[in-house]
Amino acid sequence: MNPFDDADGSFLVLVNAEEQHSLWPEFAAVPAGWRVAFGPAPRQEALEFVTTSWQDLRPRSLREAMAATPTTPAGTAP
Amino acid sequence: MSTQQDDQPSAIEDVWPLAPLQEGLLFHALADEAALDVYTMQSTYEFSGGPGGEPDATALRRSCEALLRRHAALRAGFAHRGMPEPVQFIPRRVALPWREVDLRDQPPAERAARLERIQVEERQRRFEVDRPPLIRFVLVHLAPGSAALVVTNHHLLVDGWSDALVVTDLLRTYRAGGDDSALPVPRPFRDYLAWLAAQDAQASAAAWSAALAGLEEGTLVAPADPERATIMPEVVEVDLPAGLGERIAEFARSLGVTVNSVFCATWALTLRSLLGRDDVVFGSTVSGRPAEIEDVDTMVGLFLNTVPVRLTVRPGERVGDLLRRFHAEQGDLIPHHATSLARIQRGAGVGQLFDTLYVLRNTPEEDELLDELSAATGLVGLEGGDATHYPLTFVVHPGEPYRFMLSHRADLVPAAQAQELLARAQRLLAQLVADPQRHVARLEPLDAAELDALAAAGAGAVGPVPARSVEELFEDTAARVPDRLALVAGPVGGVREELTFAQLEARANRLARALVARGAGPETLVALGVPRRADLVVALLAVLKAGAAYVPLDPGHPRERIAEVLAGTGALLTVATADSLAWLPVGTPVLLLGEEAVEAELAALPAHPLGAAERGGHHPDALAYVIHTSGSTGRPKGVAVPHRGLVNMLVNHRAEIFSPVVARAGRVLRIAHTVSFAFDMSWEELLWLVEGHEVHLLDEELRRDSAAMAAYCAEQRVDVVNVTPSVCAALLADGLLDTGPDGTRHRPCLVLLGGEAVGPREWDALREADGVLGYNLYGPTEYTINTLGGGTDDSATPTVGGPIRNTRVHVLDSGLRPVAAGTPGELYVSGAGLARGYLGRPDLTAERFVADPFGAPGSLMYRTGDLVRRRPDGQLDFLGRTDDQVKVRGFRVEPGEVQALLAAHPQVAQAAVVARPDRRGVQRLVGYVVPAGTSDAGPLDLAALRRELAATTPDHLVPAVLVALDALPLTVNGKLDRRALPEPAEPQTSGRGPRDERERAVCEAFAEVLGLDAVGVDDDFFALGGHSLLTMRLVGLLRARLAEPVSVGAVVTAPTPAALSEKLRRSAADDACGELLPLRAASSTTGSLPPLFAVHPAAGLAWSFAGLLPYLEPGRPLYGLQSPRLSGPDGVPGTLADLARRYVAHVRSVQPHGPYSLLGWSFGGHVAHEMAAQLEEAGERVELLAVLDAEPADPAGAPGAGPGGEDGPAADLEQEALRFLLATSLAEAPEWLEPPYRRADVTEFLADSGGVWADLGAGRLDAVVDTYVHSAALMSAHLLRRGHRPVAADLLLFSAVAGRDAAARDGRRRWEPYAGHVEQHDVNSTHDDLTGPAALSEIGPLLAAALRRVPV
Repeated sequence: MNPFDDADGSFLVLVNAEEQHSLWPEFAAVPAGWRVAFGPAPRQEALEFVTTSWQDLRPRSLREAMAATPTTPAGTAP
Repeated sequence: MSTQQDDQPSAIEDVWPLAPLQEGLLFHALADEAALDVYTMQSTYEFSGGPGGEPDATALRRSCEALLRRHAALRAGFAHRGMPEPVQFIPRRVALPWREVDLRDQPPAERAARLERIQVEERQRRFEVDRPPLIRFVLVHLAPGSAALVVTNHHLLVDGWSDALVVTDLLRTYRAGGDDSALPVPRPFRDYLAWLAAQDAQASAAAWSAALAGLEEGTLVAPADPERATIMPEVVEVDLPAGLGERIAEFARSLGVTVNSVFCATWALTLRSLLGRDDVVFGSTVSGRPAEIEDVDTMVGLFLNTVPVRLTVRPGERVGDLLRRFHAEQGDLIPHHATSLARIQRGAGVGQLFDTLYVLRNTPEEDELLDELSAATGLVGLEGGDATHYPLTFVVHPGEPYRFMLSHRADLVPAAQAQELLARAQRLLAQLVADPQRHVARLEPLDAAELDALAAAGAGAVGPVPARSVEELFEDTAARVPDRLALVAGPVGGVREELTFAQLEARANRLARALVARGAGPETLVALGVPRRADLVVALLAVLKAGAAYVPLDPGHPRERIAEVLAGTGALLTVATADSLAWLPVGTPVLLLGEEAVEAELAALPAHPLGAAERGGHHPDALAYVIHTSGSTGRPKGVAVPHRGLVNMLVNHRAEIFSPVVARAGRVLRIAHTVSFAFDMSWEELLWLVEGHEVHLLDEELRRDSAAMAAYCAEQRVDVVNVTPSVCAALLADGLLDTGPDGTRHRPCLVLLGGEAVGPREWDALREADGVLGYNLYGPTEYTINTLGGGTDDSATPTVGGPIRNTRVHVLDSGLRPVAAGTPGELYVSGAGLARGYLGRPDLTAERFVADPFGAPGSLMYRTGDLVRRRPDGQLDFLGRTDDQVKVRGFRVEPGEVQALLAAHPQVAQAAVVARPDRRGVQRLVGYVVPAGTSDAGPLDLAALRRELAATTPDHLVPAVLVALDALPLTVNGKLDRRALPEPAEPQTSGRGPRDERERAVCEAFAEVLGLDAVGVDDDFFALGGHSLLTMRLVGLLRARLAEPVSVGAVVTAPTPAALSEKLRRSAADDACGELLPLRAASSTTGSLPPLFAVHPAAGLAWSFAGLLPYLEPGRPLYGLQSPRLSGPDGVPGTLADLARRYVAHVRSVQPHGPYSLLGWSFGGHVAHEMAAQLEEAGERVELLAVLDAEPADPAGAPGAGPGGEDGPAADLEQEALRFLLATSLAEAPEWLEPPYRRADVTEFLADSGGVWADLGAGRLDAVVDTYVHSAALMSAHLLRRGHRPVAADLLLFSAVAGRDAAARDGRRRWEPYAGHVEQHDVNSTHDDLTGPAALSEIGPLLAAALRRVPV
């Protein structure tokens, strides 16, 4: 069975600099560039944490880039 | 009554049952009587006679006799014939098989070789199991003072432990000069068998069943092969580091487990690393000597047994916990060791459980006694040869140092691999002992060098991704080659659309601006609800140009599914056309192409590309599209894909595919677009478009018809085809690669495959075709389009190839460690093509797009769920899925989704869905439902349930078969026991059989394609499991068998043999009334002359132009154009110009560009003239415009001539029509038929007359009369409106002069204002007879000569 699918497993939730979230089996070493945001916890709890804390799937760099580009209203291009 | 005398004891002393291992060994001995019996054991003992003396041969012989006398087990024979269970029988007495060979006079150098030959001969000479004793002795006098005793016996008699006891006995007796009287009487083997019989066999069977519960398959290193010959294995071995034995013992003690458990676990983990599986089973030999039998240690017989050892590896478990659990599990089974393997295997129900053995040898202490005796008797050498039929036997020799031995069948496991396995076992053992707290997942069986090599093999080329988006790259191309043909679409409703890059670009830019005006921009979604024609590509490009992302909708999906997708994505609006409103959910906000206001808006918008600010900037991480796939929760999942991967793909394909293929062709290529836009695979063709090649978008009908598709590719000279392997198989069967009888038929040079696993047949066909490259592209939707790719040139067998540019792939085990080449593992992918995730589903995203431990810090990888194996050359082979996901006809299906849909039905309590191959071996979904107990709706109607599901669910998600069950079968763990789900019964077919030959042929074709014995005339093809691919196969079969054109559409609309036969019966007539009537079709065999298009007279039919064929060159195609009014009044053009427009579309679908040759008779002459005007307006040349007896209105005021030219009431027109029909029927009209005619009289007469109109039947004749009236009305309006316009084309006029005065023959004068040069020929014929044989003999040669002047 894939370790991410183990309903009885113990999981972490990892977050990277882009604020992307990853489920992560507790037994495996935490890869570089990720921090533990939640867990160890049962799988379902870990996924619930993800659902609550990760609302916008856009990577942070894209969110910031879009926020910095003011949308030009149609028809008023320079 | 016995003939034996009473005082003579029976020759048989006793009859015993068999011990567990004896059952298995007897089976092997009997199963293969010809081959080497690997269960023949042999030991050779060398004796020296002491200083000056010879070994005492007589004493040795007497000692051997004593052995057979003392141990009944050594005299056993085996019988099985005519008995319920095999038995062993013990003869009271046996003669000692004894032979002496003297080599003392041989040259010393040869003695060893001779001895070896004797040993081999003895080993090869089979024992007959029913002729005891199964033991024999050869004493070889080797040299003065030296002899060797070769003892050969069948393993059925004794185990290794007994062997040692026998040698001890032998030596003791020999020491006593052959007298065994001092030796204690041994305890007989029968005592053990009696103990065995008293055991609770059922309890043991239950214990083994529990121990093996849930096991899905046996652990086999080599595929099970009962035919495989037995050979002697080879051995590799390695000494463990000094002192490790001591550490292991201490480590085992600290955990409270045996040393055996540690070694056993080592082998289990080694097997896991070899096979990539967490549930491993291997055989272990157990001594089988129960402690409760007194002196069991001294008994001689076959106690030994082989039992399965199972270890279920959990990567999250710690090493110490694993060993304690394993030790306890094995301990619980000790009381059940005396169970035969065959019985255990039957209980487990997965076939052969294992094919590797684990053996822990005796400790040195146990061998001490033997050593002591050896010294006392002059035994100097002890040699034994073991053999098994297992590919691998792992042997641990305790001692200092400990030693691992691996005996391996070199034909199945080469020596190098065996060495590597021993090395892995060593590494694993060292790591196990080092830290009991370590997680199993962090054990690393591979060495650093191999890990580095694996990482290198998994990395694609690395290079920059251009900062431009794919639509900007398209804009660059459009600016570079604006006038090149970009897109050919259709034929849609008979219309072939062609767009240059500039036209495509302009339309997309205008639409993009309209979308921006409605709020589209980065991170907004726009759905595509456009039918499959040029507008779809325009819309797709427009969405991207607007900076937004597109969501393809599949018109084949039920409305509810589409509504679900639209709601789930929150699309801003849907780009649609009028005809898509039929399947779009009501109330969907749309931008309606073709709507007057929209078209006006678009026309007013600028056509140049949108500026960066206008489209809201470009970011490679912004979304390009959202594509939906099956989701296990019962709802489709939207995979959100950003731009980055698209551009990366383009750069990859340029280098890997486009450039080599284009370089070989040396020109712009034509690509057939056959894939639904609901698949990301549809991008393969679009990337060619971006690169400036010509893409042919095949319409829905064509792309579903493999024969038509193959023909299209040949006729349109298509170079590249992109299809799923299933469609590829159908195309190959329909001759895609055929080069024709003279080798000149065009075939594609590149076939791209994707979407599902490629079979060896398709791979081989593409690989073997000269100048044809097959290229398999693998990629989940979650990794933009492609992840891996491999060409047929690079691999002899189907492969998914290697990673594309800027992509890394990892093949990992359940602990997220890389597995070695050759070992199956799950594929994880990372790099530029990663999707963002699942739209609106962070939880699903976080469990599939996970942290990448092998990539740059903070990077992600996608776990595909695909099982792959890396080959020695680094390419990957696809093996299947690690989860339930299946591919049904190229569609990704989560059975869980279908299960959820079924279970949601109020009448269904529980549901299970699995993919099972049907009788033809094709995967299909089978649904199992448990009806809800308390339902008021009566018993569950499975057919109705299936219909309900089909109404709301896409075709590929509807199970082919539904089965009702009382309850779902469960495993002991309470999970669904898939293996226990019953095979579905054959679908029920109706009884009504075929009524004529055509129906019989159709029924047979149905049965053949569906894999059924018989199909009735009322059976529905789709209800019996038919689907799109099978439809293609059916159509191919019917075309071949009936020699009639059969379309996929015909099967879809008439899915029973009865309905289809009726439709085919009618279609012969239907086709003869089609708007485009190929009288001699253009094809690759008729040559390449431009066709002549002939427009019908007022009656609407163009058949009679067939009489021209004898006068035309053989390579000149001839097409008739016939009135749409023949098929009914719906949608018929209201003006002659509109009718001409429709015909022009037909003409261009056959001949896209001029120069054109047109012909029209009477009414058709006016239409042909208008067609010439329209073609010239479109920039085309009309080289020949021939008119048979028609004239425009007189500029001076007189109306034009021709039928209906005199504008009269409809009744007059009808009279004229009826008169025309009668005149042209070639049937003698009876006297009672005279004007004024009654329509019914005329049509009935003509239908019965046997004349030319008879085939149409009265119903069609009715339509012909209506058509005549309609044509005449159109013509009158055209003439009155003075609708003729001047054309540049020259006009060739044939005037019918019979019965007309000279004044009426002023056709040339009438036409001159409306044409270039007008040439008039008078034909001695009436107007109605102009296509009769006599008139055509005048017209034909002139027309043919004119056609020859038309430049090619």
